[in-house]
Amino acid sequence: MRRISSPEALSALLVLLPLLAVPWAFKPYTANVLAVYMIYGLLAMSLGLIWGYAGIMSFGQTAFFGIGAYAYGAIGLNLIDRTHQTHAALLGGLAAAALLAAVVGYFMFYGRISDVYASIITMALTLVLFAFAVSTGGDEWVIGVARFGGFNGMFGQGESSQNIANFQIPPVTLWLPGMAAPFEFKINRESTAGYFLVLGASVVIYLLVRFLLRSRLGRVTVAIRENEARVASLGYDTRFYKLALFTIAGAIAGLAGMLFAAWGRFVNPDRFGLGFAASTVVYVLLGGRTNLLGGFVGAAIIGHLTSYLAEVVPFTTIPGDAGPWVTFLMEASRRIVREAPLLVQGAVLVGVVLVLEDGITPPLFRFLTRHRRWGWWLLLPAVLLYFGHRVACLQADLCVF
Amino acid sequence: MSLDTAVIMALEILNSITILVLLALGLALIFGMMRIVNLAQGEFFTAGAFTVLTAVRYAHLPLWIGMLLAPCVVAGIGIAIEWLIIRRLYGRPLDVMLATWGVSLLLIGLITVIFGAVTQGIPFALGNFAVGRYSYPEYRIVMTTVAAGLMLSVYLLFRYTGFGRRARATIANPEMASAAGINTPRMFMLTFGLGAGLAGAAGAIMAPIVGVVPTMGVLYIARAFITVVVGGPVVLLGTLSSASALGFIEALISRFPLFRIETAGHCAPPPCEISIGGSAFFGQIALLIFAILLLRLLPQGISGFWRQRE
Repeated sequence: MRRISSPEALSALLVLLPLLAVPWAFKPYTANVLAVYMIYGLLAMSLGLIWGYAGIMSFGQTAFFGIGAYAYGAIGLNLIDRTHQTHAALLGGLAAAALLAAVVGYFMFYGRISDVYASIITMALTLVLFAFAVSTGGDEWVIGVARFGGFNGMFGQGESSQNIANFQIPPVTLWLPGMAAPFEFKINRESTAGYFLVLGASVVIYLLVRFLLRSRLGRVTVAIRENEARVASLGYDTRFYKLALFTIAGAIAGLAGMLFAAWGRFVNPDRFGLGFAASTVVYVLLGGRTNLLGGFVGAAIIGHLTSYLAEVVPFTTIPGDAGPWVTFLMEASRRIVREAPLLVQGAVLVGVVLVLEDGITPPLFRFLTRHRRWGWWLLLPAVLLYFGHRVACLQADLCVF
Repeated sequence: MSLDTAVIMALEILNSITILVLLALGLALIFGMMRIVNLAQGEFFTAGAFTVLTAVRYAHLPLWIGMLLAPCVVAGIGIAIEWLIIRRLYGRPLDVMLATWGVSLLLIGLITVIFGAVTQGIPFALGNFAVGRYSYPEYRIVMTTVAAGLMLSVYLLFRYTGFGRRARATIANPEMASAAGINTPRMFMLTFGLGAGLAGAAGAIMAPIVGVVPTMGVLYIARAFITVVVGGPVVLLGTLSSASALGFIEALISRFPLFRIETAGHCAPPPCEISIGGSAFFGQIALLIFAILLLRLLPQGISGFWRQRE
């Protein structure tokens, strides 16, 4: 176990060091984008935790993400003007996500529903929540001053003459006893606090989950994944252990959702949509589900891939005198690029399942374990190449982020 | 409740059941017989609707020809997908599920690339008939008839034809069937194609009453799966009984508001209320909650419960 996990820890460190330097080396936009990749990575890690370590495939991990985001938004909007901090919103979002996960998990595991059925039920849950969030467009759908807003997403109620920032979901705001003024975690030209909040949360949760997996709970759930009947016959209540891990994973997804709502100061029904659910599964599948880093790796790769696709394909207008074939090809490529996220996700799902069963990181870590002496030197150029390329294109003002 | 209200209520329950049967039939075949969770089933439904749309809008064929064409086209797509992807993944249920989800996303993307992300309607010429003070669309009666016809044909096909016997033998014991000279990969392929074709037929039949849009399958896939899971291992009777139970609940809650909650919003006519029940959306919520409760009590589904008692 030690030997397999050590390349994981070392590569985590290797990625963490450049990430610490990002706000000083790059534009605020880079920090902003990397923050949202880390938020998605955190969500993907929560799915990897229950999928890879307990064998529960949840298509609906985004349900807990969305609930966390909406609960944080509703409580935050209501309390920020009175208390000038979002402590209650953070606790409320976490509690809402954990509670939903506990209730759904109770019905699934105590109903002894098989693995495949559990996937279907979690997926149905997300789709129903999507239908719910979409149908809340009317004026009557409010909690205090927070409007659900249907497709438009959650906003506070305010006069249209006011600055929009006054009724957006508040950023994470701390005002602990002893602090002179409330502190807001934002990402912009002046502040990188929001970036470090997300980075810090990712690192802390990652370490906590690693610790958790070494505990009794983690070891029993891994055993359940391998052979549930045997674990049950040894006297463990397998339903309870599964429910506990599922609830913890739901709470982590909810935390990611809260960070997301505070990051974009916005949440809309897309977080419950099938596309987002699919991309979360794709992150885990591509990155690898047998370790905790896989989700982060998958989120970063897919995130970069889709934004590159949007960058490289020219959005020029079709000239009027172009022949029918040129017009057809340009129109076709434009339409394909518009649907690129969906097509990329679909292709990755099919491709990884058929070709690369375990995802990217497990073979990589196996390689690093086998060639401990020189394997790392292969990783170094990759990291240098990536950051060198980012710096170069920033210097030339060519890249979008 | 006066007589005509009762009749309308009964007709709406019948309509809910019809829709659930149409959605679930192909899925039940693929899941119940092959144990494959086919998440692309919603897109087979969409493909059926788009076949009708193409036939009517672009090829100017009569509606009924489009509706006959749709199951054939979609069965072809299903057979191609089985041959290309699913064949390699038998015995790995979770991977099949993920791969079919990938196929589902690819199909949505592809249909959007071709037809654009707009909702299109299919015109049709059937009126309403009167039930006391109410009027009711004739087309819904047609749908119920077709659904019943499809169920009966599937039953007859599997019960009495040579194909049906070979397919059942393959599903019951692939090795033995193979030893007896049945081409088992071909049987799996054809069964999958049949399930896809049934979804295509459902999409074609429902196309005139719903908006035809590339993401339409997503709206129905959850309900179809819930119906199949609640139905349990017996394909036809299980689907019918779970569709009946769930359809009854859905129609009832869609129709009658249970209670109202006042909220603090700024509504144009002042009383700001949320009505729980009385809309299609709450019907679907009720369906989901009822299904989860039912699965807590009967983990093997309704027909699994019958089997246990025998």
